[in-house]
Amino acid sequence: MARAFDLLLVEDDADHAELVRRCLAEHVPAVGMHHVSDGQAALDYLQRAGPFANPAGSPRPDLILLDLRLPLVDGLTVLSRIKSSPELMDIPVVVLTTSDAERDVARAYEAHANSYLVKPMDFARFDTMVHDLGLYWVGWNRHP
Amino acid sequence: VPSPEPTLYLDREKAQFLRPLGARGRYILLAAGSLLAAALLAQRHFERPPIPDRPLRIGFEHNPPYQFRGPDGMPSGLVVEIVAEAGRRARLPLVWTETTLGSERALRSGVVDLWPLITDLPDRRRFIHISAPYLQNQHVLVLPARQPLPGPDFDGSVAHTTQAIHRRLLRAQFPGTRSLETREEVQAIAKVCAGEAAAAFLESRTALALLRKPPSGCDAAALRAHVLPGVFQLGVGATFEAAGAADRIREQIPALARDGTLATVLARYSFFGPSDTRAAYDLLEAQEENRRLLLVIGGLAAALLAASWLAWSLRRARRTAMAAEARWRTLVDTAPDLIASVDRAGRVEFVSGSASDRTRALVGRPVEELAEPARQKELAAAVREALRGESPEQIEVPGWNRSGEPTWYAIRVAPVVANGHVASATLIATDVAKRKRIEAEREELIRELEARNSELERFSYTVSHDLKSPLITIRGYLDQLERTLDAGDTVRFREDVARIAGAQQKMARLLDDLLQLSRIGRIVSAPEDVPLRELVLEARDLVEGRLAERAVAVHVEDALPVVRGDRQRLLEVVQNLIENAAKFMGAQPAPRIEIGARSDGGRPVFYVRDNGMGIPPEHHGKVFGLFEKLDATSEGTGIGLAMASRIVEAHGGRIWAESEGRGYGTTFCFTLNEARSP
Repeated sequence: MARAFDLLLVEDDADHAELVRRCLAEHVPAVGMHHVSDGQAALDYLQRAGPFANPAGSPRPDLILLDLRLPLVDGLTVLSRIKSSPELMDIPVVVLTTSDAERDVARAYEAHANSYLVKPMDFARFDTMVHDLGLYWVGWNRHP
Repeated sequence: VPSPEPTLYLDREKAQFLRPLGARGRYILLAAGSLLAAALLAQRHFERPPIPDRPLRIGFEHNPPYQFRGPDGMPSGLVVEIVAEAGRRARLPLVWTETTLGSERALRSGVVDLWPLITDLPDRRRFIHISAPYLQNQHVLVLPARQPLPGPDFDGSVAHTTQAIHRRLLRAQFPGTRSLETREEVQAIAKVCAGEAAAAFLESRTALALLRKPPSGCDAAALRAHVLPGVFQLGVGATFEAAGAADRIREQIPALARDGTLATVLARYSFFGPSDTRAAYDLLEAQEENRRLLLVIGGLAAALLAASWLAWSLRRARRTAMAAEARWRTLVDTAPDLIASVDRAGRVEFVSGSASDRTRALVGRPVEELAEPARQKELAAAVREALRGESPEQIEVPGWNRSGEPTWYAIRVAPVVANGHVASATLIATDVAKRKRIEAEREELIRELEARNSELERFSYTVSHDLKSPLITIRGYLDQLERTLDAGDTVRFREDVARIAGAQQKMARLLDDLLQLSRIGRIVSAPEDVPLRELVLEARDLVEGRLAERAVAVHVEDALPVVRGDRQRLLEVVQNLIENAAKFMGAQPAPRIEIGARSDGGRPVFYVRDNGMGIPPEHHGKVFGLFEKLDATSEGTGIGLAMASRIVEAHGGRIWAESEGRGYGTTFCFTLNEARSP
């Protein structure tokens, strides 16, 4: 990898965030993970607003992992803001959520999500999923 | 309010005779008919046949004393003198012409234009014209006094003059007789006296004169006169061409009678005395007068008949119209709808009896006043449309019912077209308040159901999501425990165990809250009067642990009213608000909660004010949403405020948040119904 791969994890459940972080660290250690716990913070991070004004501490992510149920601003709103912003729209957004509701899947894709993943209840599968996610988005996938 | 006078505009036309004409038409027809009749009468009366513009030949024959050539060679005699004088007065150029053809033949052959005296026999009128009569004739049989009266089978010889009419009349009565013609009538009598004839047929006037002065050799006492039945009228004869001249001559004769000329002439010929003649002609006049009078009486009777027919027709028309009006009014008054008639100016002419005093007062007013002021334009537009002859769509407007209560009307307006133009408009208003209420209720129900449905959807969605989350955590970190144990990292091991415990607690709390949530919506206990201060203190005691933990000072206002509601539920509201305030104190070094009431437009507003984190204004509405959390790190489940909101709303109150933003603290306000007596 010529340069560092930055990933923005938007997740309100701190425990889940930690699980993702651990799995990623194991499978794709080169990834720099940045975590925010609500929708407003995610937007602030991407727009370098508020506490994220310093670009060194909040590099532009190469991938966004986005939960749907978020405090303050919900995940779908964050997603459509990203996809309607000319500066941000080319960042791949993978929805990672506990919801397997058909409506959520449809609405996420309507808002131009690049992928939709449901958190598996079983940890082994959770681990595999994060592994594959790293393999695909960090290893194989190319984006501008 | 008395019912307005019935107005005849429903069936008036149907109820009347000569319907298509209308009242004016009928009077015109009647007048025209009378004029026509009068004109026909006048024409008959005044029409004068033309008179040839030349000297008129008037015939005479030897028939003394009526007509004969006098000793001076001039035409002379009774009727010659009368007619000559009448002709002179009528300015007719008469040329007397003697003939032996007899009157009828002379006229028919055209030898003469006029004849001074001719017996009016119906068959003659086919060939000649005969004026109105001016003399009458009767005939007698003069026979020896000892001879019995002859019957129809009389077959003796009868003497009479050569006049054709005499033979003709004799034959008509006694077909079996033989004629003995004589030149003059005096010779006919002489023949009876001489026994040469069984009887003489004579004109009665002449016979009377001759019997008064019988010819020599005749004893009048030995003779008797038998008057034959039948009176013959005699007028002036004429060809059809000269008919007008005959009538003109006849018209002059009454004047001759009046001025005595006639009497003088008759006297000269020893017929009657002047007074007799005057009486005869007076009689004639009287008869004519009678005829005229009869005509007038007939006319008056006809007029009277026509007038009473008219009156009867009008009365019948009125009765029919009244019956139609009563039938129609009953129909309209019995209808449950409000029915009104609107004139061309858009004003109410009539309103049905089922309408209220309020609507009845509309008579004479613009019809749109039936509706609420804000909707009058709509109604006025529909009425205008109908008065243009169109059929406007049904409209629904609020108005007042017969008790003066507000209601809704479905209103249809239709043009009333008579004789091809719009005479008025009919308005039918159906009270649809009930339907409107049901519609509103249904819509409210649908709205409520939709809200419930989306809440349920959100609920089940959130529940599945939020319950899954801790399970993933538990499962994930259990797996991690194994690894950290293998790696011998005890710090992380403890950390992960704490995470598992935390997730378990979160789940337990969520389940608790869900259980609590499932209970609201139902009011468990009957509403009671609840002293609010007491309730607040109790709630404070329930969350004492948490308050103490963060050293939160709580101040409760002394004077709080008594409210009405489900005590347990209201306790939950206050408890939730205090808990919520304590939870979001943030980094406040001197946390404080104030609970009290303030007046807002006369209604008390209760508040729970804190000096904690505050809420940005854009999130004020969101905080009451189910499972809605503003802070991901807080331990809450996002149920407390949602629950408080529902309880307040179930009590008919309102709840809202006031905060100027982060760091300014928050005030939660709510309203409740106060107890009726303090």
